[in-house]
Amino acid sequence: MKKKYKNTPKSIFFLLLVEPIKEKKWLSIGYLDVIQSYRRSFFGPLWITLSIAIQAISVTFIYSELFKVPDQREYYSYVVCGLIAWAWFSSLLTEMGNVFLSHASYLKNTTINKEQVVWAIGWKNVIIFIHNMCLWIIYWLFGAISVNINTLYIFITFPLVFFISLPVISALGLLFARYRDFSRLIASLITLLLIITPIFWRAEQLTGTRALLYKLNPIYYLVECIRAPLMGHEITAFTWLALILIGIFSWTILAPFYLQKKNKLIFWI
Amino acid sequence: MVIILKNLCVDIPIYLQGYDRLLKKPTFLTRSVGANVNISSKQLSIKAITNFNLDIQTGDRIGLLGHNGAGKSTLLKTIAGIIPFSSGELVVNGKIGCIFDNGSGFSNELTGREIIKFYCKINYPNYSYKSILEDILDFTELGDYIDLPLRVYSAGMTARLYAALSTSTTNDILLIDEGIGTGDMAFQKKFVKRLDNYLSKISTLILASHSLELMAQYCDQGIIIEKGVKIFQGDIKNAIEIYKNGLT
Repeated sequence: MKKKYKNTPKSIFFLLLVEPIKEKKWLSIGYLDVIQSYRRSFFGPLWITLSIAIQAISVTFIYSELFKVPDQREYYSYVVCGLIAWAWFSSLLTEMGNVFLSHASYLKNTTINKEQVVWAIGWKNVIIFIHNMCLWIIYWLFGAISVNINTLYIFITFPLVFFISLPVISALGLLFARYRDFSRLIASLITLLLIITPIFWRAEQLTGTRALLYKLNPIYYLVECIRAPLMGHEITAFTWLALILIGIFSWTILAPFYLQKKNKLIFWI
Repeated sequence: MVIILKNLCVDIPIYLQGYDRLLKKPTFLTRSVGANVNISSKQLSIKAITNFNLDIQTGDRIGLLGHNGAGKSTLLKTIAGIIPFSSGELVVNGKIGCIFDNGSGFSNELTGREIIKFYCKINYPNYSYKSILEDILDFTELGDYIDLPLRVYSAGMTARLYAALSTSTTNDILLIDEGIGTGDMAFQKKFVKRLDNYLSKISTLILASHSLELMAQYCDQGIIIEKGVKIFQGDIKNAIEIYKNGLT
């Protein structure tokens, strides 16, 4: 085995995709992160599921009464599926700021690749997402959610979103490690993002120029591509197009940025 | 050659609190220890390693000697690929193992058994957890404590666990930075035996330590580093003598 360290980088696809899949240390780091976060808690990661359940039940009850929602069953499933998708993004957004900082001890003292911790954060959130799917199963058992052929799209969109999020986690993780103010900014923007993204309200409610509020919001498309299949709805062509554009942006702008700056990371953590 | 370093330089940029925002430049006085601070360019940096040349062959056992901040740890971490170098060339032939800061990244809420399991999966992915478990249980003598959280362990018990973990598998090249002294007297004897056995399986060793006794025991060559520059390379006994004389 020969390693020749040079300052010329490898291909970004090799670094962010091939190598982590081969090494698989992220499986253990991500799982360890979950264990360490919820140790001595009785419900563990199910706390997130419980908080989504409390939020979904209270919001659907209040909003359906306030706004006199005609189809309450549909609204229940809309909110819970939206919150499951939102939980995945909001958790990723808040954690990506600390992706390298929270794993600094590995990066400073072992020969582990930085990309392993990027995948670990993604994997940790996949584990939490799987826990949250218990809520979806309960709603389905009670007949609030219909399962059909469209539901199978989740097996395409979820890995796709994971693929899109890898350069985002890497690049923003770098940026947040260098400029510590960003993670505080994101923490304060999360609530605003929840309000402006159609989670509790429907995108169709906004028309004309007001519709730009969600049409220009990339998180809407990322939420929609998870929410639609969970509700048994078809994913619109516009959402697919938006996903492709976000993916292209992620892999052509953010990934090269990460590649260019990754060597400096060790000095920032 | 196992490791080749040619004119290797490592500059470590420094990001101070408020330095970017307030555009204030700190002033540095001459220091007796540590590498040179470079404040001439836009970026404040430390010249941690300067024009370092080194050829290490299979079977070499090298001890790095130097003051605190001389650049020993930076050199080891650069060879391991953890710290990038600014210029020069570095070639490494072989699988590197490193003992730097054991136990970092693990919560005190994890049990000894869980730590062994995850340590193995993260650091030794080619080994199964069960293959090293028995050896560690036997060596650490932790008994029932292995299923208790680390927070109830004494410092010595924790040190035993990590000492056992870091010496449970072998690599072609081993880089050690300080911290391989552990536990009470009885355990130290046991550990020395284990370390002897462990190091006999390692073909190439680079050890950075302030323990001259350890250096004399396990190394055959010594390198003295001062402010990131190699000032001596030769037989370990001569290196220790020169280093001792420099201290007085």
